[in-house]
Amino acid sequence: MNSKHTQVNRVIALALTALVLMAAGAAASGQAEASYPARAVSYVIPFNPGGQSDVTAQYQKRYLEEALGVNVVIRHQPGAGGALAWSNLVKARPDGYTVTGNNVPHIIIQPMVRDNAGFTTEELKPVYLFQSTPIGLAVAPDSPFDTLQDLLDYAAEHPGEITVSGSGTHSGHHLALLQMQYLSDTEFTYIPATGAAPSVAAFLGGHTEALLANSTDLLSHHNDMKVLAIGTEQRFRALSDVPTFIEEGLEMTAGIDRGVAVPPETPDDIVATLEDAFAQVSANEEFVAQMEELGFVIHSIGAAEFATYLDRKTEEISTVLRELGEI
Amino acid sequence: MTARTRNFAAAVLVLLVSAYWYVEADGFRPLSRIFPQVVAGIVFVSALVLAVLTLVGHGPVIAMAAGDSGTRHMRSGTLMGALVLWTALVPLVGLLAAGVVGVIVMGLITFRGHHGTTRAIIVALVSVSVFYALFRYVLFVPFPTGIFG
Amino acid sequence: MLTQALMGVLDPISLLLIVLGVSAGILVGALPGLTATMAIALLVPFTFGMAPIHGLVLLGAIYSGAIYGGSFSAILINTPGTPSAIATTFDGFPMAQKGEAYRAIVTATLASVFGGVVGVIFLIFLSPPLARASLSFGPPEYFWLAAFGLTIIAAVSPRSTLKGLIGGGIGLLISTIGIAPIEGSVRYTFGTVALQNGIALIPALIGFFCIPEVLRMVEESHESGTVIPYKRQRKMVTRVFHRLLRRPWLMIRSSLLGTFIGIIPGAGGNIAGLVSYNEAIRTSRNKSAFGKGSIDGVAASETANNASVAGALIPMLTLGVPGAPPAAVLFGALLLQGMRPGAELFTSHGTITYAFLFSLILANLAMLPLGILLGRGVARLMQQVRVQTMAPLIIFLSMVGSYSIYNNIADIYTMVGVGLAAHALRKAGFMPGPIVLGLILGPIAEQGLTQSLLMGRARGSLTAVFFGRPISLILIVLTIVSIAAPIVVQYRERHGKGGTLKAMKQLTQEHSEDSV
Repeated sequence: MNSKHTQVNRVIALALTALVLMAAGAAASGQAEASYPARAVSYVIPFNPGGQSDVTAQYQKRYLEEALGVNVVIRHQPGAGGALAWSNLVKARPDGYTVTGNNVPHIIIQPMVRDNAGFTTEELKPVYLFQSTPIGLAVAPDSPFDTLQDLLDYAAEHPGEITVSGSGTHSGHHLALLQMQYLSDTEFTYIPATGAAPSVAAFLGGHTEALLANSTDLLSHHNDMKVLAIGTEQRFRALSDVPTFIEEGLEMTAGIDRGVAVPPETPDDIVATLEDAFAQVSANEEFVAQMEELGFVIHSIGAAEFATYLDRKTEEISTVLRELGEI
Repeated sequence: MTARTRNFAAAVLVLLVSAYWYVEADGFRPLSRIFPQVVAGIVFVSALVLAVLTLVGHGPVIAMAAGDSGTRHMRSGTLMGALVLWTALVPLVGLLAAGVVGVIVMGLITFRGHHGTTRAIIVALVSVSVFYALFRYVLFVPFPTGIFG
Repeated sequence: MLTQALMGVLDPISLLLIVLGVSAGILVGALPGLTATMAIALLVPFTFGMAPIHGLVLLGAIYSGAIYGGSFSAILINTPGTPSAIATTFDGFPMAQKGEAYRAIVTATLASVFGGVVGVIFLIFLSPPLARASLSFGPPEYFWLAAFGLTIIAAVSPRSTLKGLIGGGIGLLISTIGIAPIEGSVRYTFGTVALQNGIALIPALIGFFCIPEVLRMVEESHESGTVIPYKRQRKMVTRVFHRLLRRPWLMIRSSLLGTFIGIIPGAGGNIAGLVSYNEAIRTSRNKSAFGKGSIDGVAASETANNASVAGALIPMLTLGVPGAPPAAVLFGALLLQGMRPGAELFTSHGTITYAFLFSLILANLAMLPLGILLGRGVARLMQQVRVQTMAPLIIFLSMVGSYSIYNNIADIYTMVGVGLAAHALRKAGFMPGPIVLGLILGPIAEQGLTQSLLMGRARGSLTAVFFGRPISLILIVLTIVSIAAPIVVQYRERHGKGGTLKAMKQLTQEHSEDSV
C-alpha cells in the first residue's frame, strides 16, 4: 500500500506545481495594456463562412490590419439568425477587442418577435455601416409575368396561390414580402429556406414561382431568371434595366445593411478608433471595386449616422409588423 | 436494478417527456407545432408498447455486465461527478486550468495500483498543453480564461 | 486548356500544397470538433495572398483529407471526427476492439481513395447534367429522403427495433429545440437564450459518442490498462485490397450513392455514409456480421463519404449552389478570388477550374501513402497509451472541440449534458446510432414537411405535392422496401419454426453478447 500512497502524493505535488506555474503565467500576461489597440482584434461574423458578411470581412481584414496596426482575427458564430453572436456581444468585455457584424433588419426584428432574444437593438453599439445588398424579386424566365404589376394583379385575384422562396423567417426577405403584401393588399405564400443558397435552389428547380434574393445572388443567377423589381431608391447600377419597387408604385425599399457593433459600454474613443479604421477601408478604391463587382453597394456611414438610421428603421419596421399582426 | 425495472423506468421517462413535448407545443404557431406534435405522438405510442411488453414479460432484455456490482457503479458515479465539476470549473478558472485539474482528478479515480500512473498523468498533462497551445496560438481560438484572464 | 491545367497541377508548389493540405486535413478531421468546414474557413485568409490555383488546390486537399481523417477517431475512440464518419464508428470501433485498428484504418483508406476518385471523375465529366438534376429535389423530395433515411434505424439497432424507433424519435424531438424553421416560434428553450439555436449538432455528436466511451473505458479498464489491443499483421494493405476487390458491387454502389447524395444540397457526407452503410447491410448475405466489426461496413461508409466531397462540389461549381457546408466555404473562397461559380467557371476560368479538379484526384491518391503511414503509427501508439492518459485527454479534447466550433461556452455544457444522458440511455439499452440519426434527419424532415404543406396549400392539393412527383415516388418505394424487406426475411426465417408470438418476441429481443 505504501507505494500507492507515494504515487498519490507525487501526483498531488505535480498538480500544485502546475497550478502555480499557470497562475504565474496568467499574472504576467495580465499586465496593464498600452493604448488601444494593443493586441489582436476579434471580428465576429454572426453567420456561416461563405456568406455575404464573411466575404466582406475577408476583404476588409487586410486593410483593417493596416489601419489598426494589429492582427484582425475573423471568427464565425452562426446561430439563431445571428442572435447567438449578438447575445454574446452584449455580455462581452467593452474593451474594443470584440467587434461583431451588425446586420439590419435582423437586429431590429428579432427582439420584436421573440420574447427573449438575448439582446435589444439599443444594446448593440453601432460603429460603422459599410455595405448593403438590395433585395430583388424574380420569377422564372418562362413565367407569364413580365412586370411586378402583372404579378400583383394575379396575386390580388388569387390570394396565396403564388409561392415565393426566400431566406429565413422574420428575416430581411420575409420583411420585404410582408411590406409588399401590406402596400399592395395582396397575399402570397412565403416558403422560407434556411439560407440564401437553398432558397435560390428551390426557385431554380421550379418548386416556387418567385424568389426574393440579395443583389449578389441575383447577379450570379441573372441568366436564369427575370428580375421584376429591386429594393433600391435609385436604379441599381449592376442591374440597370430592372425597375425599383418605387417606380412600380410601391413606396418601399428592401435590403440588408451590414456594419459592425461593439458591446454597450464601450468608451467613445475606442469606437472612434474603430470607426476611423472602417472608414479608411471603405475609402479604399481597390476594396470598393472588388465589392461592387460582386453586387454589393458600398456605404460610408459613421457611428452617429448609423444610430439615427437604426431609429428610423425601427420605427418603419414596427409599423409594418404591427399592421400585419406579426407582433 | 433488474433489466425489467430499467426497461420500465426508461419507458415511463420517455412517456413523460413525449407528453410534455406534445402539450408544450400547443402554444406554438400552427406550422411550428405540427412536426414536434406528430413525432411526440409516435414516440408516446412506442413507449407505451415498450411499457406494456415489459409488464407482460416480453420486453427487450438488457444484458448485465459481468462486473455490474456496487464498486463499478460507485466508480462510474464518482467519474460522472468529477466530469460535472470539471465542466463547472471551466467558466471560473478557464479551460486550461480546469483541464489540468480534471486530468489529475481523473487520473486519481482511475488509479488502482498500476505501475506508471504518474508517467501516464504527466503524458496526459503534456498532451493537454500541446493541444491547448495548438488551438490557442495556431488556430486563434479565444478560450475562456476565467479568473486568469 | 486541359494540358495547361495539368501543368498547373504538376508544378512542385501545387504538389507540395496537396501533401500539406491532405496531412493537415487528416489531423483536423481526426480531432473531434474540428470539422472540414472550420479548417477551410480558417485557411481562406491564407489562400488570399496565393495564386488562385494554389489557394484552391490547398483548400480542396484539406476538404478531402478532413472527411477521410474523421475515420481515424471513429475507429480508434468510437467518436466521429467529423459528422461524415458517424457510420464508420458502427463497425470501425468494434474492429479496433478486436485488435484490428490498423486493418480498419487501411480499409477506410482504400475505400476513401476509391470513393474520392470515382466522385471526382463524375465531377469532371458529368457536372452540368447532374447539377440540373439536383435542382429537381424540392421540399417533398427532402421529406421523403428523410423518411427513407429514418428506415436506417432498423439497421443500426440490431438488438431491439422498438428501442431503436424510440431512440430515433428522441433524436427527432431533440432536433425541434430552438427557433422553428417556419413561422419562427421559439420552442422548448425554457426561456434561455442558449437553447435558441437548438442543440448544436457537433457538440451533441461528441457528447453522444465520446463521453459514454470514456466512462466505459474507465469502468472496464483492467490490469493492462491500455485502451485498445493491437495485433501485428503482415502485408495488411495487399490483404485488405484483395478483400475489397472481392466486393466490387459494394464499392461501386457506395461510391455512386455517395456522389449522388453529395449532389443534393443539404444532404452531406453524414447521410451519404449512413445510407450507404444501410444498403450494404440490406444487400449482404451475412447481415449479422455488421456492427461487430465488419470490414464491409467500414468500406461502405468511407467510400460514400469521400465520394460525397466531389458530389457536393458539382452544384457549387456549375450552379453556384453549394451542396454541403464545406462546399459553401469553398464557394466564398472562389468569390474572393474573383471567380464566380457558374458556367463561366468552366470557360473563361477553365484552366484554373480543371487544374483544381485534377488536383482533387491527386489529393485522393495522396491519402493512400499518408493514411497508411499515419494509420500504422497511430495504431501502434494507441497500443501503448494507458487509460489514465487517454480518458482525461479525450475529455479535454472534447471540451476544446465543442468550444472551438462557435467559440461558445454553452456548447461545452451541451456536450457534457448530452454525454451523461447518453451514458444513462445506453444503460437502458438505447444506443447512440438511432438518436443521432434522428438528430441529423429531424431538420430535413421538418422543413420538407412544412414547406410541402405550404406548397400544397398554395396549389390546392396536398396529395399532388406529396405523392404526385416522380422522384418522391421513387423515394416512397425505397422507403417501403427498406421497411418491408427485413420483416419479410424474418417472416420467412421464422415460418414453421414457431408461432407469431415467438416471432414478435424475437423482433424485440436484444441479442447481446457484451455488456450494456
